[in-house]
Amino acid sequence: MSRIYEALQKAESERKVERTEREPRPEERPETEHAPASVVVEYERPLSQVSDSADDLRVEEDRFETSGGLNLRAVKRCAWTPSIQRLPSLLERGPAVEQFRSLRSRVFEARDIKPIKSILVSSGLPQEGKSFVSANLAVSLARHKNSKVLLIDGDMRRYTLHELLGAESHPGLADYLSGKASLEDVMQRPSENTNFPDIERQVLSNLTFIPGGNGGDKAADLSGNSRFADLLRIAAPHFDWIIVDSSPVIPVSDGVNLARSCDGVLLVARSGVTKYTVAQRAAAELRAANVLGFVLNAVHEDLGAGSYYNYNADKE
Amino acid sequence: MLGHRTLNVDDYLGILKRRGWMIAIPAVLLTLVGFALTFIVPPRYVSQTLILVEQQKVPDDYVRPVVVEDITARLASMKEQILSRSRLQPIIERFNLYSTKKMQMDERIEETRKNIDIKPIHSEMARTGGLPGFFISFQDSDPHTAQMVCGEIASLFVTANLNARAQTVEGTTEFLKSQLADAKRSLDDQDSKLAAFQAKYLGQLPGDESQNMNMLTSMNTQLDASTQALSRMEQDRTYIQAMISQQQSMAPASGEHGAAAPGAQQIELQNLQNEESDLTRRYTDDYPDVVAVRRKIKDLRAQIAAAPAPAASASSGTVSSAPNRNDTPAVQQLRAQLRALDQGIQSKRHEQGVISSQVRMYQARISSSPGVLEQYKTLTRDYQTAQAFYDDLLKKMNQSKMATDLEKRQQGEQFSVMDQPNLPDTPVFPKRGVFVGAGFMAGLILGVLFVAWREYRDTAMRSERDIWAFTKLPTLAVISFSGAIPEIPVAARRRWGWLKRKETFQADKPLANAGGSSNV
Repeated sequence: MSRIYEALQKAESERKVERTEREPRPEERPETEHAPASVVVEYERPLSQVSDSADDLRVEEDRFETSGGLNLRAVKRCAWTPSIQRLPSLLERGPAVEQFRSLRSRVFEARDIKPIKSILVSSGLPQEGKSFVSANLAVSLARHKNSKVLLIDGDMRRYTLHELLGAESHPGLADYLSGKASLEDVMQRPSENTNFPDIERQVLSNLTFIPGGNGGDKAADLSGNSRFADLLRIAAPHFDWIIVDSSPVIPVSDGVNLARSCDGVLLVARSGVTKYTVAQRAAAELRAANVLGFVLNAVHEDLGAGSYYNYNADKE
Repeated sequence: MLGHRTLNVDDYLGILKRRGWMIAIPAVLLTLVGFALTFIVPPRYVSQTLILVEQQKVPDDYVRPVVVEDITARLASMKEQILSRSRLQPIIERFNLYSTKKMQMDERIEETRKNIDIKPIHSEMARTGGLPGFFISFQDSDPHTAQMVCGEIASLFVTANLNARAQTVEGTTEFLKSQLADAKRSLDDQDSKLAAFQAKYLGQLPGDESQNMNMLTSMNTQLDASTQALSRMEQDRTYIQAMISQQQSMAPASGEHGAAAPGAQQIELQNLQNEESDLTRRYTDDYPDVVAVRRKIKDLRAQIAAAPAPAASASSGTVSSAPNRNDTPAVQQLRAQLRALDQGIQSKRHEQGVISSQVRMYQARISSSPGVLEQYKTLTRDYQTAQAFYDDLLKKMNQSKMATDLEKRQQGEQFSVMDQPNLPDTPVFPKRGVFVGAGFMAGLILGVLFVAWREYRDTAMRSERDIWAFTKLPTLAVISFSGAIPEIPVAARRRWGWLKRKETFQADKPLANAGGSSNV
């Protein structure tokens, strides 16, 4: 059901995008010119089929790397060793895949109301699963019609996204914001020679990662730097989605600063842990931003997705 | 989340699922504690006996019972008596109750009182206003002791009832006896007073009025007759005197003229005296006729005294009835008649006085009868009151004697032991089921209270409803916890779910949903 629903959503969004392309807004015209044709696919093709056609993949890569003011060819490729346990949306099937796919659908719905490309993921307090949600959301989005996704570790104090991807942590966002490195320097892409399974390789190839870097005590100042908005503006034409993982908004102001430049904010609440007062405060802190809603994380109740998934698996 | 927003059935089910163990553990533990207590707590055995209240065997219409107090009240009174120290102490000493607990006698008595239970039977078959009987029970840790003490108390009740009834009827009889003696004394006193009054006012008592009137009428008639007879006799006497004077005047004697005049004066004097006596009988000395007559008599006597001696001598010979030698036989005969008449006149006058006094007496009786009647009524009323009181007491006395006899023959209301005290074979306390149930309920309540307290303190959000209720923001996705760890079997994750929750906060073991231990 969710796939049919997503297909309907997708068709609707594509019609809107086509309408937008026919009548481009002046400020968005340059971006649409450089934007990759990432929405030409009518549906999400099975990754196995996509991987069979090496030519198609190369064409996609070329478009990805040469468009816009950003030279993606200069982006270094690193050997990523993603943790499947912490990136369950990389799996071919499973409850987590379905749940993040559902989240992705809600994000698509939100985009129907208001154009959204960059999404900040935050929460009130630490340990609520921001990085987990942002990484898996990025992977889930990357699986959708080979969408190009930029994943930014916006938490320059305690950066952990590189651990999930098994990537290098430096140079990162802090280095870019402080002017020590260029955008191409801080970006990472998975190495083509990495011995991934086909599914993971296909998904990860659509993913570009900016680690946190070591912002330290200057993280608050760095997050308030206008270079972050520049980063988004420069990167936006090259990516379908930009997911920014941030620090919690109650103890530090980094997340609030970064949220100003993002199109939407997702708040993460940990089931059974996040107090409602914390959630209220977090929402209040981000009242200036476009808060899309909450992601309720780590729910212990059986949601029924597993049994449904298992049923499908048996049938397959 | 309890108390922070309105919960629905799903929320309660969620709470139960999440914290069910907090309810289950105390419930199980306290159930076990309750079960264990039944082995630790010393058992209590209850021996019980039924005492029936048997009704009076003779109908109440024939012999009215003296003890008419309600059985419930009497039972309460007897209970107080039997539970008194003087009654209980011998029982406690005899059966050596509570000797192992190092209690003082007062405490032992108090404990015994607590363990005695007297419960009236309120049956539909019970007669109106009465009791068919009552249960006596005694509780003790030893069944034999409980049985024996129960029997002892039951016999105390039976004896106390008999004694109380006997004392009541005897006391009533004695009291009535003394009252009856007083009443009799009072009645005798009234009797003697009445007799004295009747004796004092004999003939004047109520009912004698008609007789007195008849007598007065009769006396008046007699008086009239006597007066008439006296008048006739005096006329006769005057006539005879005149005859004698005539006879003497016919005799040869000088100075006849002188003698005639005194003789006439004598007759007139005699008449005046008769008239005086007649008047004095009827009137007082102050009456004008009496005074006039007496003045005439005085004047006449003065005239006679002023007359010459021969006249005096002649008159004395004329009026006197005494025989004279010079009298002729005819005169003597007249003189004899005159003397007889004088005697008759005196007799009549005496008779007239007697009748007059009797007339006065009857008149006095009649005139004083209203006052006598009033006093008589007062006396008789007091007498009747005393008599009625005496009669009433006498009747009660007889009833009391009958009631006493009824009690002595044990035909009145009495207590009978229907069932002998039983030997209890199972303790009434502790009841295993009750203890286990109470332990379970207490554990359940404790667990529920604990869960409620924890839920009230727990303000963590757990569902989309929580998020919407407190932030008014939609929930875009719900990410399950366990679904992200494929290598852990589902069964094991369910079994050790609570351990996993603890692991989420362990710094050295990052979890899938947390994004790593050092993640912010």
